Amino acid sequence: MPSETSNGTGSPSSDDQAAATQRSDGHLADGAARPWAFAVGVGVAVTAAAAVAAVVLPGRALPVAASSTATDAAHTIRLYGLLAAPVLGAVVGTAAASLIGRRTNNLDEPPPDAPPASGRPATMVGFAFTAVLVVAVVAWGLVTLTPSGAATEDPLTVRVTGHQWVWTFAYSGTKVVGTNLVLPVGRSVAFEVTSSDVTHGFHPVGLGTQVEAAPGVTTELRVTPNKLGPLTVQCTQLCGLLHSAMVTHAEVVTPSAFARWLVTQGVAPTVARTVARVGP
Amino acid sequence: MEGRATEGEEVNLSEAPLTGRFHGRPSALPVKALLATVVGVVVVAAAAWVLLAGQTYQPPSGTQVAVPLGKATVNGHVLPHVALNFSTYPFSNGTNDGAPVHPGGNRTWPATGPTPNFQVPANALVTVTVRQYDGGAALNDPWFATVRGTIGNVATIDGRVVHAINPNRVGHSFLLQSLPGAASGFFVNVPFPAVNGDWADSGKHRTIVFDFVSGPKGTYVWNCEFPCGQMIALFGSAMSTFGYMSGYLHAV
Repeated sequence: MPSETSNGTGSPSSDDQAAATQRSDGHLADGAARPWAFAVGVGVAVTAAAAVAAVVLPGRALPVAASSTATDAAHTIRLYGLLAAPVLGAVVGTAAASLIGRRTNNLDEPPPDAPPASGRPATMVGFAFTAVLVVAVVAWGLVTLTPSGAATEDPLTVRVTGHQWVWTFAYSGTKVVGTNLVLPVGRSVAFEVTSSDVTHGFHPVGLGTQVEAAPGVTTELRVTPNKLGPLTVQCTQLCGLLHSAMVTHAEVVTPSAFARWLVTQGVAPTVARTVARVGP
Repeated sequence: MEGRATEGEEVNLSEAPLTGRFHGRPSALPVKALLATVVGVVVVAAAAWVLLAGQTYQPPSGTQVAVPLGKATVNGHVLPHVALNFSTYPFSNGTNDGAPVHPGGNRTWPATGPTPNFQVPANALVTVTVRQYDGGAALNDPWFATVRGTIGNVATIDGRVVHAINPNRVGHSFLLQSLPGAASGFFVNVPFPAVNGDWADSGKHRTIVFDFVSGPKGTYVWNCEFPCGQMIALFGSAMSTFGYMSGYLHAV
């Protein structure tokens, strides 16, 4: 650290005073432009990386979509990710600029606050940008999540009841009640979800929807499976000792296969035993 | 301000007084940090030791290996035939051959003994005999009063073949299912009727026998579906502590 003045006279020159002031308040005036350039670079890089992640990761992390609801949910996640990417980049870039350009070595007194930014163009731009983002995501959510045409269809009604720690499914209009969920492809399904004990979370993975199963309350959930194949139903609300085991196999089948399955489920149980000892 | 540069004043930073947070010798900081870390670790370890030393509960040890009975034909398939036996008690100090079911456990909780864990061959006919010593009440959902997943969807209770019991007089139940990740859903549900009166005085019990075909190799989990615990919709205490009214079945 300097202990003498640069002109050797004992009287500080203007450069010495400036340097001393800079050290005193911690500002690095001669490098002031570079931190902002660095910040812009960091912000652009972070924005680009976040945008790529927003597009690529949902396809890898989300289950295979088995309904238009699930597809819409994946698109929503991608859109929100893309909208959030420049926000993340601006935050990280600003933080980087602050860390580099506003760093201080003075532990006694922090740099003075900047004057209030109200009324400045940057503030107005920030406000407008945020408002556009919020309105866009709200509009997208309203359009995407609003059921379209489901009320006019003839849905298959399935009463879903959560128990500790198993799901049961009762098919309306039949006497079929079981622990297997089988759904016909292409037909709207109205799940009437409730619980017999504590709160559970009904999440048919792949259908892109989830709802709480609360005791004493019935919540309706509509979705139309559009892809044949196996599904998994899992509880998404921590519900007790065997919550982790509260996973049920489900399957989306053709309408004819579903009709055959219903018939087999309605067959009365065989009372006569078919067991015979054949050896020691 | 002392030690601060003002305009037109010479600054000698090397002689500026040290003020602020870090007044001590820099070399002392790592020592203090290390000392604080060591003290913290010792305190946490001591607290953990005290808490663990107070735990006397010992889960039931061992796994009951099914007893081979021979071969049996089930729907045209010849399968190994094995047997399991267990009891359900109103208190965990209920005895099984003179030994407490859960040594050191909560004596007032219902329990399964001698162990809640079982081992059977995969894809075998399993005959289970249960002695039910406990009273009971109503199920949360009468659907579980029906026998499901056994041979013929029936069980015998005191020698009588039944498909369902009174859902308002259930003592305990045996709900066996596959764990997540299994290739297919596996489900067995057998309700046990309640015993009338006070078991402690009468020693009465109900005998339930049922057969089921074990699934593929793997671990399955069972639990009682009758709310026989405390708090939280009667699914607390014994219902929320593994080993009292829940356990594993290993198919090997």
